[in-house]
Amino acid sequence: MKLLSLRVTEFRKFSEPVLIEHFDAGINLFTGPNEAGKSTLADAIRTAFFERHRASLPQLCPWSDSSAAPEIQLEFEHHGHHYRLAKRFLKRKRCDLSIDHQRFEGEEAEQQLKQLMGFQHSSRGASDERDWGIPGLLWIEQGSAQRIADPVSHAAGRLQEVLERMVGELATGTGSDTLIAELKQQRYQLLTERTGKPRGDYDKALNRCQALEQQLAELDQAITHYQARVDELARLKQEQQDEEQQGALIQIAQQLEAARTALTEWQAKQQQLSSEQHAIATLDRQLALLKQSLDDFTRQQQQHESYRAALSTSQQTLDEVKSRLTHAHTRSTAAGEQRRQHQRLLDQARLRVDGFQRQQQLTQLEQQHRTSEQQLTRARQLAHDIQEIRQRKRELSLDRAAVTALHEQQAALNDIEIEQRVAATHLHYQLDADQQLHLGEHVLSGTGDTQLIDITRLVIPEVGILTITPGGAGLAQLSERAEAIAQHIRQQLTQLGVTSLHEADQRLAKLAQLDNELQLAEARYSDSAPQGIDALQQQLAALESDIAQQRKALEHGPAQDSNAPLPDLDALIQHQHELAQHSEQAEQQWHQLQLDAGRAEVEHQRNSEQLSRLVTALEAPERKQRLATLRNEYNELEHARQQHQQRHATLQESLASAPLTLLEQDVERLSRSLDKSRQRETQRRDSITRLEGELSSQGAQGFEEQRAELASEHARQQQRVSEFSRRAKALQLLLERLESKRQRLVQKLQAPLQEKLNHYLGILFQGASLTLNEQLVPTLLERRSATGTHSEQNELEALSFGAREQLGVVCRLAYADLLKENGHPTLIMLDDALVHSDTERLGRMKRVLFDAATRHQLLIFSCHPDAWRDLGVDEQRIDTLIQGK
Amino acid sequence: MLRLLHTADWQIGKSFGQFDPDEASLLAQARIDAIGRLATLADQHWVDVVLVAGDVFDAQTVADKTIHRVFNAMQAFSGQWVLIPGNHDAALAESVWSRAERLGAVPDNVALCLTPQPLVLDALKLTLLPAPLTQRHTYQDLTAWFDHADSPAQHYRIGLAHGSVQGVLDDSIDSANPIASERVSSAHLDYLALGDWHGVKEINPRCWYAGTPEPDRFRSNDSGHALLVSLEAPQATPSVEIVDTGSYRWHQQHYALRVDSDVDALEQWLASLNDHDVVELSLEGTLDLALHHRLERSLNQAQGRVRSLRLELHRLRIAPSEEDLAQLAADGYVGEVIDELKNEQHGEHGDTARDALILLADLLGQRRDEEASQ
Repeated sequence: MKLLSLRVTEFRKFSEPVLIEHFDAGINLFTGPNEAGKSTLADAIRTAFFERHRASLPQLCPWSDSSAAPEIQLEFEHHGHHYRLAKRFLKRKRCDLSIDHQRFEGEEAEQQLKQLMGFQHSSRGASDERDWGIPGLLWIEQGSAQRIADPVSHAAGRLQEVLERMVGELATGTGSDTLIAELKQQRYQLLTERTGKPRGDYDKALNRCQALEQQLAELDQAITHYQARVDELARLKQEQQDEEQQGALIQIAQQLEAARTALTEWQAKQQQLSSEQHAIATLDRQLALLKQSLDDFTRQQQQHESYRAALSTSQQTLDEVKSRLTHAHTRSTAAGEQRRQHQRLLDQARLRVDGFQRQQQLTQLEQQHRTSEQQLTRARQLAHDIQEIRQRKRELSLDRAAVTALHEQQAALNDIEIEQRVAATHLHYQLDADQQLHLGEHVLSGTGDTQLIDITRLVIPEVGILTITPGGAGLAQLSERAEAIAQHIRQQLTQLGVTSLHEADQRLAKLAQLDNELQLAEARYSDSAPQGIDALQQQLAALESDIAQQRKALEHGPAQDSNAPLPDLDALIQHQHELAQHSEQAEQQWHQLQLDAGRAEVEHQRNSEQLSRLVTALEAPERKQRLATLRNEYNELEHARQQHQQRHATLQESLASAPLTLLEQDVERLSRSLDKSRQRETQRRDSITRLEGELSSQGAQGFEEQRAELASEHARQQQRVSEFSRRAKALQLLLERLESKRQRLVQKLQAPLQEKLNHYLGILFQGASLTLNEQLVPTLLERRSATGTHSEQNELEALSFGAREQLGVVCRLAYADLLKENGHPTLIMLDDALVHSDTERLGRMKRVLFDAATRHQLLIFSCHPDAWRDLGVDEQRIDTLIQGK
Repeated sequence: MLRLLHTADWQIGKSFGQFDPDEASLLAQARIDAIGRLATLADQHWVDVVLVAGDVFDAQTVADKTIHRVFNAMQAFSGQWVLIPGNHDAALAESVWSRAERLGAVPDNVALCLTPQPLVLDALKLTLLPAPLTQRHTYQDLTAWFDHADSPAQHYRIGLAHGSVQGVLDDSIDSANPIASERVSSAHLDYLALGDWHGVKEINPRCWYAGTPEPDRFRSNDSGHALLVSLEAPQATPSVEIVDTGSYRWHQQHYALRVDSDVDALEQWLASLNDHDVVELSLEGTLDLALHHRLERSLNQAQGRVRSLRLELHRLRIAPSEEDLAQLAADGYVGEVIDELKNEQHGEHGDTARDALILLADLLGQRRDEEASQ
C-alpha cells in the first residue's frame, strides 16, 4: 500500500486545509514543533479509516468553528489498484470510495475499507481500539510504541488467518481454544489448577471416604472388643459351671478340715509329752530323795569306824598337849624370876645415875646465875648513862634552823660590809712613832689603813679635830641596813641564849656528839637487857629458885659415892628388855598350851559322845525295817519311771515324724486357698454381672448393624471417588493431548513470523531472540549478557521503557512483513516514537526503519528533526503544508 | 398328620452396601416383609409349627428396633415357631438372643432353642431335636447327639440344624459347622430341617435346605422359597412342597454388543424388567459413537424402571466412525487426538482413554448441537 496524497479540511487543529501532495514510497518524515499538528495529521488518517462517516463526533471540529464540516480526502495504491477516499463528518456527511473506476458510497464504501484493511467499526459512537485490527497495530500513536500486547491481540484474528494461510494448516479455528477452556473448566471442578489436587466434591468424597474408614476402623475395634468380652463372659460362665460341678471349693474345705484335725491331734500329743516329762521329773525327784536316805544308812555305818579312829586320835593329842603344858609352866616361872632380879639391879643403877646428873645441873645453874647478875649490873649502869646524856642534850638544845637563818643573815651583813669597804673612804696613815691620833673612838698609831664609813671625827692631838665625812653615796644606807641586820642578829643570839654565832655553832657540834653517844649507849643496853631490866631480874629469880630446888633434891637423894664409876644404864636396860621378852614368850607358850589342852579335851569329849550316840543308833531295831521299806519303795518308783520314759519316747517319735510347722503351713495354705477360691468365685460372679450389664448396653447400640451401614456408605463413597478419579484422569489425558498438539501447531504457525522478527532483532541486538505466546504477543527476550559469557532472559515487561519501545516497533515491522507477504496492505505510522532511545540504539533503529522502508511506506512524525537527519530523506515541515500560510 | 413350614437364613440386619441408599433400604425392608409372608403362609396352610433353621439375624449386634421388628413380623402366625441360632447369630454367652429375651421381644408362641436339648411338643406328638450353634464356628458335628436322644414312642422325631452337610455341598459355603450326611438315618429322624445354604436343596427325601425366603445375592442359587413339609405319620416319608416367598428377582446378565441388533436384543430384555428386579449387567464389545449414545439412553431409561441396575462397562470400547468424526467436525489436531484415544482403548490405560474419548465426543456433540441451534 502506498499513500499518494492527503487533504485535511476543517479538522480539529486545522481550520485551514492541509495538503500533502506527494508521499515517498519509503520513509516520509514530517517535522514540526509541539502543537504544530503532527498528531492531528496522523489522527486524520486514522479517522478516515476507523470512524464511520455517520458517527456523531463533535470533537473532530476545529475549536474555533462548531459549524465546520471536517473532511479528509486521501489517495493510495494497493496491488496496482488506485484508491480514492473522501470522508466528510458532522455536516453533509459523506463517504466516497473509488477503486480504480469502481465507486462506492456510504456504508458500502466503509465495508470495502474494513475488508481491505482488516479492522472493525464500533457499533456506535467513536471507534474503539479493540476494533482497530491490523491498522491499530501498525499505526503507532504518540507514546504507545511500547504497548504491544493489546494491539496484537486486537489484530490476532487476521494475523492468525494469515499465518494459517502461510503454513497451510488449520487450527480448527477458534473452536479448539474454547474446547480446551471448557475442558479446563471441567477439570477445575475436580482438581486444583496448579497442583492438580482433588477439590470440590471430589475432595469431599475423598475426605468422607477417609472419615468413614476411620469410623469403620473404630467400629471394628469396638466389635472386636465386644466379641472378646462375649468370649470372656463365656469363659467365666464355663469356669463357674466347671467349678460348681467339680466342687473344688468343697474339696479344699474338706482338706482344710483334715489339716486342722491333724494339727489339733499334734497339739494334744505335745501336751501329753510334756505331762510325761513332768511325771518323769517328779519321779526323778522322789528317787533322788530315796537314794539319799539309803545313802544315809550306808554313811552311818561308815561313820562308826571313822568316829572310833577320831576318838583314838583325840586321846593321843590330849596326852601330848598335857605333857607339853607342864614343861612350859616350869620354863615360864624361871624366866619370871630372872626378870624380877635384874629389875632390882636396874633400879639401883638408875638412882645412881640420877644423882650424878642433878649435881651437874646445879653447877650449870649457878654459872648462869652469875652471868645474869653481871648483865643486870651493866644494864643498870647503861640506863643511868643514857639518862645522863639525855639530860645534857636537853640542856644544850638549840634550834638548828634558827642558827642556819642566822648564818644567812651574817652572810648578808658580810656582803654589806664588803660594799661599805668598797664605798668607804680609805684612810692610810703613817704616823710617826708614838704619835697617835684619835679617830672616833679608835686610836691610830703606826702605819695602817682604815676605812671610814661614817662621819668620823679625827682628833689630831694637838692639832685639833678633823671631821671626815666619807663621800661615797649610799654609805649611810648601807650602814643603816648593816646596823639593822646586826641588830636582828643580836636579838636572835640573845633569844637563842648564845653570845655569838660561833658559840651557837659549837653548841650544835656538841649536840651532834651527844646524839652519837646516846645511840651507842642505847645499843649496848639493848644488848645487855634485850627484854629490859625487869626481865633480867625475873630470870635471875627463876634461876635462884631452880638452884634452890636442885640443892634440896640433892640433899634428899642417896649419898653419892662420887668416886665410884657410873653404871652402864643403857646396857642394863637392854638386858632387862630381853629378859622381859623371854619371860613373856614363855608365859604365852604356856597359855597357848593351856588353850590347846582345853580344846583337845573338848574334842576328845565330843568324839567320845558322837561315837556313843552312833553306836546307840546303829544298834536300834527299827532301823533295819526302815531300810527294807526304803529299798522296796525305790525299786517301785524306778519301774514306774521306765514306763513313763518309754511313753515319752514314743510320743516324741510320733511328733517328730510330722513337724508342727508343716501342719500349720498346711492349715494356712489350705485356708488361704479356700479364701482365694472364694474370692475368685466372688470376683468371677462380679465380672459376670458387670460384663452382662456392659454387653447388654453395648449390644443395644447395634455395632454390627452400624458397621454394615457405614460399610455401605463407604462402598458408595469409594464408587464416587473412583468415578471422580476416572473423570479426572480422562480430563487430564484429554487436556494434555490437546494442549500439546496445539502447542506444536502454534510453534509451526509462528515460524514465519519468528523469521521476520529475527531479521530485525539481528540489527538491534546481535544474537537475540524473542519468544511469542500463543496470541503472538512477544513475552520473553533472550540475548547474550553484557559480558557475553552466558545468555540472559528478560520478561518484556521488565525491560526499560526505551527497550520496550524499540521492541514494539521491531515487532510491528515483523508483523507488517508477514502481512505484506500475504498481500495485505501495510502502512506504518510512527508518531513521536523512539524518543526514549539513546543515540546508539536510535542509530540501529534507523537501520531497521531504513530496511523496512524498502518494503513498506513509513510515515514518521517527529518534533526532533535533527535526530532523523541521517535517514536520507527530506523532512516536510507541517507548517509548510498548511494552505494559505 | 404333621404340617411344617421349614425356612432359614433370614439374615435380618444385612445391609446392601453396593447399592444406593434408597435401594439398599428397600432390599433390607424386603427381608422383614418376607417374614410376614411366611407367617401368612403358615396361617393359610394350617401349619402346625414353623421351623427356622438358623441365621435369623445377620449379626449379633443389631439395633434393638431390628430385633423388635423381626418378632413383630411373626405376628400373623399365632401357632408355634421354633428358632435355632446359626453361625451369624450363635447363642454366645451374650448374643442377640439373650438381648431379645431381655427386651421381652420374644412372644410366647416362639420357642428359642439355645441349648441342645429336645423340645417336646406333646400336643403335636412331636419331639424336636435342635442343634443350635453356641460358638461362632464349630468344627464338630452338633447334630451328633441326635443319635442318642430319646423321644416318646409314637412321636415325630424332627431335627433342626444349621451347617453344611458333608460331602454334598461345594466348598463355596462355610465348611465349618459340619453335619454328617447320614444323620437322618443314624438318628432315626422323620425330617431334618437345615439352614445355611441360601437356595432350596434336597439332600434326601427327609433332609432339605429351605434356603433364604428373600434372595440376597446375584449368584443364582434358587433362593426365595420356603418348604411346606407334611408327614402323614411318624416314619412316613414326608411330602415337601416348595413355595415362593421372594419379592425381588436378582439377575446377573452379560451381553456382547457389536452391531445394532445386539443393542436391540439388550433393549428388549431391559424392557421386560420392572421394579422387582435387581440387575447386575456387564457389557462388552465395540460401539461407534452413535450406537454408544443410543445404548446410554436405553440404560438410563432402564435405571429408572428396575429396582437397581448395576453396570460393568469396562470391557466396552468406543470406535468413532468416519461419520461420527464428520458429524463432530473434529478436524485439525482435535481429530488427531480422537484417533490416538481410539487406539489407546486397547492399551494399558484403556479405560481412561475410553472415558476421555466419550468425554471429548460429548463436548464436541454439544458444541455441534449448540452451533446447529444458533
